Amino acid sequence: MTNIQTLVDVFQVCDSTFPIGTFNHSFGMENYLVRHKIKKAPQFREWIENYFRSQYCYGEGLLTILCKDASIEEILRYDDLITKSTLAKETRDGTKLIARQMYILIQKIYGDAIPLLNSYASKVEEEEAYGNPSIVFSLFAYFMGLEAKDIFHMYGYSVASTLVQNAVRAVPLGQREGQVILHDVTKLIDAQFDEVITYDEEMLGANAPGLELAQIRHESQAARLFMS
Amino acid sequence: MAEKGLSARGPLAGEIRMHFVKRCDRSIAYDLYRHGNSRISASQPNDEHLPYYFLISTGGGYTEGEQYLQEVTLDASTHAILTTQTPNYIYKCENGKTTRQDCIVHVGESALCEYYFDETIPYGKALFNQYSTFYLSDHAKLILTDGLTSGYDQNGEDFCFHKIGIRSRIYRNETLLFNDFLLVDPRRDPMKQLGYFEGYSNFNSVTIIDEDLNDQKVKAFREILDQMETSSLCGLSAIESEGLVLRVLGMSADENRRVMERLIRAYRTSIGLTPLSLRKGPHSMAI
Repeated sequence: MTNIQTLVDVFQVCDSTFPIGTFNHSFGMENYLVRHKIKKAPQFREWIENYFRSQYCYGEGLLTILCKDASIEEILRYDDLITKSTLAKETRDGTKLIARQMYILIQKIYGDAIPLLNSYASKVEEEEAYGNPSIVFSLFAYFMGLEAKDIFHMYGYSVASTLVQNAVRAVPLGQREGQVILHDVTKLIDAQFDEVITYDEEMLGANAPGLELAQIRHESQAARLFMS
Repeated sequence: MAEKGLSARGPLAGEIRMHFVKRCDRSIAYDLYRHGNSRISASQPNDEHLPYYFLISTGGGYTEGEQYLQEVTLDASTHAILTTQTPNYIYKCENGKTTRQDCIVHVGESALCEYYFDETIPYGKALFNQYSTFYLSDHAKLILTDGLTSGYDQNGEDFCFHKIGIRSRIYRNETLLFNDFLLVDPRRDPMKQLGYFEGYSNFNSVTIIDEDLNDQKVKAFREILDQMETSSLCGLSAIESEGLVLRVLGMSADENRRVMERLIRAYRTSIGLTPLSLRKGPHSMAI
């Protein structure tokens, strides 16, 4: 079992308070608010659960698994494929910003101790890669000795907790209701691992139509609290 | 990256191969080949004298486990228009065998390929993968449509199909430009909920690849779409480079087509093409 200090170290990066700009992004959720499709907790629950059923499983969740034992060449291919699969410009741009903030902060804490992360970060800085936070987190977490299932779950928790916090700010959603939803989403993430572990690179970037369309439409909506 | 699965392709139920070349400043179909359940129409007359063909499935649709292949090559500086004659019906797959269509298109330097797939209409229990790969040379352009409906069921129920994957990968030379992958499985996905079809029955997509497209042009096309009154929900975004994508969710194929044809017509006009009616009967578009 991974020791508690290692778990805390990884959890620090998962925490929604880790200052990498995730609080700026709703990944399409805000468009449902403007369209009055998300009004209260039940609709927010529906959206976030479906986000994890589709976009997380075929995107960032699958990336956490693909990054296990991956070479830098494979990492760059995944980075390219997930970026070219992300239709909405705001979502792509937001993802790149978050990835960059994440590796800068990890490097500030751990220096140059994580070779593969350093290589990936260098490629992003040299504009030979785009940057994806799931890849950054996975390279860090595998270096710390975590297993694929733990990383799939912890990164999912990180995304979900941020989205819940953002929804608390934007939706008529109480902190307590938000935490109940977050707890239920973590159960959903856990239940999905056994299926996602069977996927390969060919599945990377698959998506559902409504999620994508909301992310696209956010680009041109007039009133906005979030960048995506 | 090699296309996984193509080498494992079984006997083909239908096959189409088309090769367009340039002769005396005109694009012509140099080689047309069809096999099995796939047919190619006669060239459809049009004012521009462009090669324009319907791709026809003689069975009216694809049955369980069948595999289809379309291979199309446009030589440098050619222009061809291809479209399915009707929506693509995918019949029920009661034995769990997935029906599959592969489409491989090479678009030569400075050529323009217009490929208008109608929407896929899956029957109950249908399993279907449509994998399209486009290889564009320098300065080549592409207009591509496809779509998916809530399907057909004899009891009138929506989303009774099992699993549908519609993937288009577009490369410029060796560089991936866009990986577009719609994947839904109503056995596990709540199709009527937020994130999926959201109460709509028809999903359609338009992809345009053109290295001259930029944020300003995307904004101008978005303003044209914003002026439309439509019950369909649509959105337009620039992909990572050299292109844009329009997504449409609506209650009818006709209404979605109206939105799609507005964008396609605006784009075609912007590159100096004259408007064209596809003359496909009820599935037509004026582009």
